[in-house]
Amino acid sequence: MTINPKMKKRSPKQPRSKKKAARLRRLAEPYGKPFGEKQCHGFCRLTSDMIQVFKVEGALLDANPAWYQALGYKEKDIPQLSVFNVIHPRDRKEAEDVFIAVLRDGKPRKFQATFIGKSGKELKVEGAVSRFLHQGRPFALSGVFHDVTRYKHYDQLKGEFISTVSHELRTPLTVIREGISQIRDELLGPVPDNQKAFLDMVLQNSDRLGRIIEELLDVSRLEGGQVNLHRRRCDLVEVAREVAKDFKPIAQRKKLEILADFMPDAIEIYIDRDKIVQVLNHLIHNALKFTDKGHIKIHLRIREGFVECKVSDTGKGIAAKDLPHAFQNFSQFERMAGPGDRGTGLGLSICKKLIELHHGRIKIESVPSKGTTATFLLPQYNHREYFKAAIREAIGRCEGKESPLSVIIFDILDFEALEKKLGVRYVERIVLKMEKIINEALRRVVDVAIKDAKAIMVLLPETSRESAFTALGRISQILEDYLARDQKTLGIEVHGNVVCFPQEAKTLEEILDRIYS
Amino acid sequence: MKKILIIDDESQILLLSSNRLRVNGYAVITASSGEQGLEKAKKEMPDLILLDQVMLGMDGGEVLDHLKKDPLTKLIPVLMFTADVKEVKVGEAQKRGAADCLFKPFSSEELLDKVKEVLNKKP
Repeated sequence: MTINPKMKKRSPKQPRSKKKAARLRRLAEPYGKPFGEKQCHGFCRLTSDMIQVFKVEGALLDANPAWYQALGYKEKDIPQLSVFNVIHPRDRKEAEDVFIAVLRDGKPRKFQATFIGKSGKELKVEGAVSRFLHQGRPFALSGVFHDVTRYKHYDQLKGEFISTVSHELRTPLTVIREGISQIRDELLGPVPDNQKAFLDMVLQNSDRLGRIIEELLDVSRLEGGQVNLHRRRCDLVEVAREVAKDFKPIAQRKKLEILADFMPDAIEIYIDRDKIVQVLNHLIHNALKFTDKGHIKIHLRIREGFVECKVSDTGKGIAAKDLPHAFQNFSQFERMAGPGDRGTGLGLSICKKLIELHHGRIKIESVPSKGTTATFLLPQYNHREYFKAAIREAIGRCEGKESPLSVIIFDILDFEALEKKLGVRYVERIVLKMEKIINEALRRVVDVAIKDAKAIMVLLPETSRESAFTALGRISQILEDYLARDQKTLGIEVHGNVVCFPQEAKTLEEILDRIYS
Repeated sequence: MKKILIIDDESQILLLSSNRLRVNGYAVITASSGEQGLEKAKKEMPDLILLDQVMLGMDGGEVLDHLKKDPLTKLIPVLMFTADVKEVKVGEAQKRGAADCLFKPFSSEELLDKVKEVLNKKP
């Protein structure tokens, strides 16, 4: 439920007929206060959804009975409360972003968070936030939420169950697979050919079972929100080329061609490379599996803030009635009977989740006996957005862990003068090269270096100020060595500094201010 | 002939991996607990130790710590088996001194490749 849209319009500026107003007032009064004084009344008092109305800076104005009951507060607590007292610290930054966005354009937005009651009880909620106008200006925000704690708990139990079962299946499966494989490889004595054929069949199926277990684990981790992306900037064209190359031998065996249609010839994007490779692998594998003649085409384009990737084939296609189920777990159709290349029915569901984790979208179109096209879109970031997203991820990684996020900033001194002297393109290449050198020098997967126009930022989650300075010293030396090697770059000087979160900057905006000041 | 010590409390895995390694030209000694493994490591001085992370009693991590503390055994490369999520454990095990990690379930090819790689890495 969203807050009754009609209510927003009932500002004093819009007079309605006296009769109608009186009737409405009568309707509302039995449940609470008359219109105009408070924002929560009438239907709001009856619903089991929690409703809160709050000022832009957070101060609570009003709430409905369901809200009081769920969180354990009394009406008299309201004046001392901010909406941020109710939202879990972990979700506060996201809440702030959502509130600001709603305030700016007036579009209601969905919001998920954990609420904390008066007694400290945690409540998982889902709902929407919308904006109130007063005399044409944004005046307050309203949030309508329902308690989803129980469903989240079931989800979690399901996830734990799958992951325990999968772990317990792995060891016996290893024993079965390796035992059969040693007999098949004649480690224990000669095996006649007809028996080998049977053993091969067992091996193929135990491999398939192993794949199902791995993919089930993937699904349960993805659904349980346990997958962290390790995003880096990389060139999607190069990634796609590499994946396509791996499939050349299979394609040649089936006498199929893999065509590449990439425009432009380098597309910089901010992704977890391994995860996107997994998606591409699956899409191309599927295309090859269901195509007997013709070609597979991989197509990359830039489209208004997104990078579009299409994998299309000239295969047998998917029936219209099956298409809507393509992304469901265990959905398989048009599969040929018999042993061999059998899937698990989990691949596309995993792809969808991985793409969505990247804030992208995926869809499948198909014409039976003509072919199938899978398309995914990934957002394109500019440097600043890219850095913001990376910082947000790094903060998330540090939260609840007592240890700070340190950011090293390498400034390139006299940048404009350098550009004049060496040329814009040349300086850009050097900055890119330095970013690469730093990334190679970083020791943990969670650490990342990102270049901005004239600086390079290094994010070190769970790293103290002291350790960050040690890293700064080490990386500075490596950079100096690199710059000293080339005649032309001799004039370039780099200065490093450390900002520590949350000691020196509490919010994302503050960090960015510190960094760009 | 290179000598390999396998420490794992799952007797079937022990049997299968030692068989596979023996056929491929390695001398294999086995231990079915952490304590026994430490004893055999000191007595036999193998070229490589394969160590299961999850064991009853003394677990793989503890065994590794003991091996790396003892001047006698600290130079023997250790290859850990683990069923855990990859990236986290690799870093952790390598920080504690393991030469490399193998993720369960692994195939015999993976096992042989990794063993060869770690043995060749040894100075």
